[in-house]
Amino acid sequence: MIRLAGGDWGYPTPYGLYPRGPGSRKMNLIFDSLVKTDSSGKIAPKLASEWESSEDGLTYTFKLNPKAKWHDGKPFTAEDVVFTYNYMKQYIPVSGGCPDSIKQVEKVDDQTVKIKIDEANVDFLSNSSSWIIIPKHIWESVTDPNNFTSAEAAVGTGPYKLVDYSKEHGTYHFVANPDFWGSKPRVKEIKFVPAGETILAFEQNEIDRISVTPDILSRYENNPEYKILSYETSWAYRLYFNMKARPELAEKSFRQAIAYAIDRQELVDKIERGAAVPGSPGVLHPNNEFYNSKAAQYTHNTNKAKELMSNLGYKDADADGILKNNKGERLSFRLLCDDGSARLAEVIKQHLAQAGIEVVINSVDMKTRDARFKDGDFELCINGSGNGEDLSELTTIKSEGKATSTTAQAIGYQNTEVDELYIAQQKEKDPKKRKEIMFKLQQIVADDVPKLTLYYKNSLNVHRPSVYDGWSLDTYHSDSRSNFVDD
Amino acid sequence: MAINAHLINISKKIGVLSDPKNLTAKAKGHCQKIAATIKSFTLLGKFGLTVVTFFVLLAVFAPLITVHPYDLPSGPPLMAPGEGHLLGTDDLGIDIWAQLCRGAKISIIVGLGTALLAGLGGGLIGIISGYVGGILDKIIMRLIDIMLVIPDFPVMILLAAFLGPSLTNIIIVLALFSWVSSARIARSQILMLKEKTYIKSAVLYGAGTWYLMRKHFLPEIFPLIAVQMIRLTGRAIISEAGLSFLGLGDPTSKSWGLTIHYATSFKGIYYTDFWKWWLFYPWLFLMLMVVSLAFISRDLERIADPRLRKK
Repeated sequence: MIRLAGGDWGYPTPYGLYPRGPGSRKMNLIFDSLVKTDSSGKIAPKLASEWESSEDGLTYTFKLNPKAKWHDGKPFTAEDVVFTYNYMKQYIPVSGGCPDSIKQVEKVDDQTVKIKIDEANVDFLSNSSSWIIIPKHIWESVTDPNNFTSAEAAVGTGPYKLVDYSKEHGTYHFVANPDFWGSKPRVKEIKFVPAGETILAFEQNEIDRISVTPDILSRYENNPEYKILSYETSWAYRLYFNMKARPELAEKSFRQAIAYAIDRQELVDKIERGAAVPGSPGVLHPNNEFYNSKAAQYTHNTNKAKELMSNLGYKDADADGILKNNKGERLSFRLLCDDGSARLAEVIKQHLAQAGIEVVINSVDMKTRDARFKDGDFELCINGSGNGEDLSELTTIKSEGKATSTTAQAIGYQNTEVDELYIAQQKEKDPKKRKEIMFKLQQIVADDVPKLTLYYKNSLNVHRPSVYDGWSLDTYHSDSRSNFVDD
Repeated sequence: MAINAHLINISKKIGVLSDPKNLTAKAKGHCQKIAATIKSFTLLGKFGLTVVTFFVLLAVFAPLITVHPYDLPSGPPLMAPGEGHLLGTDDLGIDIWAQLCRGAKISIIVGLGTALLAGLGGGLIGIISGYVGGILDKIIMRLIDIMLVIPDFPVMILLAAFLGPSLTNIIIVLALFSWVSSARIARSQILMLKEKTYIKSAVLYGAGTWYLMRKHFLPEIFPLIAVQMIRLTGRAIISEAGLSFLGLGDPTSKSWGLTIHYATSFKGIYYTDFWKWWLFYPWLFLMLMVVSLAFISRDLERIADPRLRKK
């Protein structure tokens, strides 16, 4: 049995969860998609054992895994796939929705489905890897899916069954599914237990894995009882500009000035104690295979920021340290953040103050921040997530069918060239040419700074090999399915 | 001298005295009374008074006695107490001593603000309720009953979250839940005083409401309200620290509670040395302040409340 730090992330179904990583990962323990993207980025089978696409790339035929069964013993068939598509068109799920590009899903026979999409897209299969299949015999009578949280709502085809969930305590209890279609789960039981102070809970053997900061790493180093795994992740904090609420942010050189004013290295050193990688304005992590190191970097330079601001006509006429526009109004922004990033906001406030921009911090709890971010109710906002790297946030193209999203568009930003290049790279089958397009795309994005990546977090995880040593080297998320089962 | 001038001013406003000679004598009398009160304090009370005076001085002269700014980094992050930084620095490299001096100011503003608002406001409501009586008294008393049964801290958390974090909001929220006790004390005193023969005879001789208030009610009630206010100050400071600790305070104010909040939310702080200055000193300041206020209020209560004095 493995115990991990809990927390309420909603009921782990596509309709009941809270749309952030921990919620989706719990859902993925129970439910399956047709295919998955493995650690090297290749498409691998899940509920579909094989597939082929037509010449024109518009039709995909999936052969389903005959061994797959729902937790309640009913067989999994093509009917369920067709049903899920139709159901998710009618009721948009919170997470795990089907790709928007699907035009039609039809059953060929019990073990075969044919999916038609509207436009050829090299990413179609990887987009489908987040599409969760739900059982027809349970959901067909459900008309209010968001409030459907009875035990049978958590019937999936995946390696784990949910046996207990408490919203109040933030606890989940999963047990291995003996009839799982894939290889046998390596862990019989997974429990998410309340843990206020995770390090203390780990030391007292209440939980089995934690992430630590560099300051306390020495406690666990050179000790055979513990093992440390370190990861460079693409989970990033980003600064978002609401160009509709504050038109001055729509000016490119204004955003560039902000990028120059913020010392991202200092953010890494102070807020993450060095365990992070400074953000690249081109959005992609330096580790990304498409990363373009030639894109603009905006190395910290307060004078350059001031120069750009004065070129835009902002002057500090009364020398109180804050710039004014030509009407004499103080240049002041409200910065929305959650309480986890209040400290980060404070450093940004200090940096921008040096360039003459006043910032008023508005710190709320995470869920309020997410809701206000989604509604565009902010001027500047700090938001963090692990999936902002595909650049679709910066286009006007919708990427996935989701009812709610924690990562919205860059409000007010529109660049047709970015849209075109984004679509072009989606269609490009030749990896070399795709890379060229991605390089160009990053150059434009870095020049425009529609959002500013502050830093990518590194993760240092400690576990006891004597308890369990099967932790994945590819993902730092301790609740990720790949830690417990090979599909 | 300043106190004398102040007292003269007050006396003038009240209009009790018109002769300046008499005036200084009266002021002297006041000073002597205060000195006597302090003398009658217990050792703990005197200790409390010293500590509170120290913090008030700290708050007032903060800009003069701190070298570093309280809101900007002035050294490397998480530096241990030592040269240049008396109490070390926090994770952003901000001087802890400067932050704590600023925190003293915030604590005193919140404490005094709440105490004045709740003590005087509550006292006034109590006086009105007791003096006017009738239906108004009934309404106010039921309102007080309702306020008494509402668990205050959870509602405070709710209100603070709803109104948004700012110092003014915190003072208002705290005052909203603290006026009740002052009001009840004031009302019960008024009810008792109203029935006293000297008040009745004063009324018979034609004393008006304001005359009674000034001459008889306020002097009787004020000491009790003052004790209540000191007690409220301590409670307000601890509540502000509590709200800030929960992340409901103004995120950039440097109150003691907020410093403690940031220190405790620093991952694994107890497994590093950082807590020895970043967490310990704000905790020490907060504890000293609140305990001192409690000592003072205990002594004042003993002096103001004749029932306790007999014991």
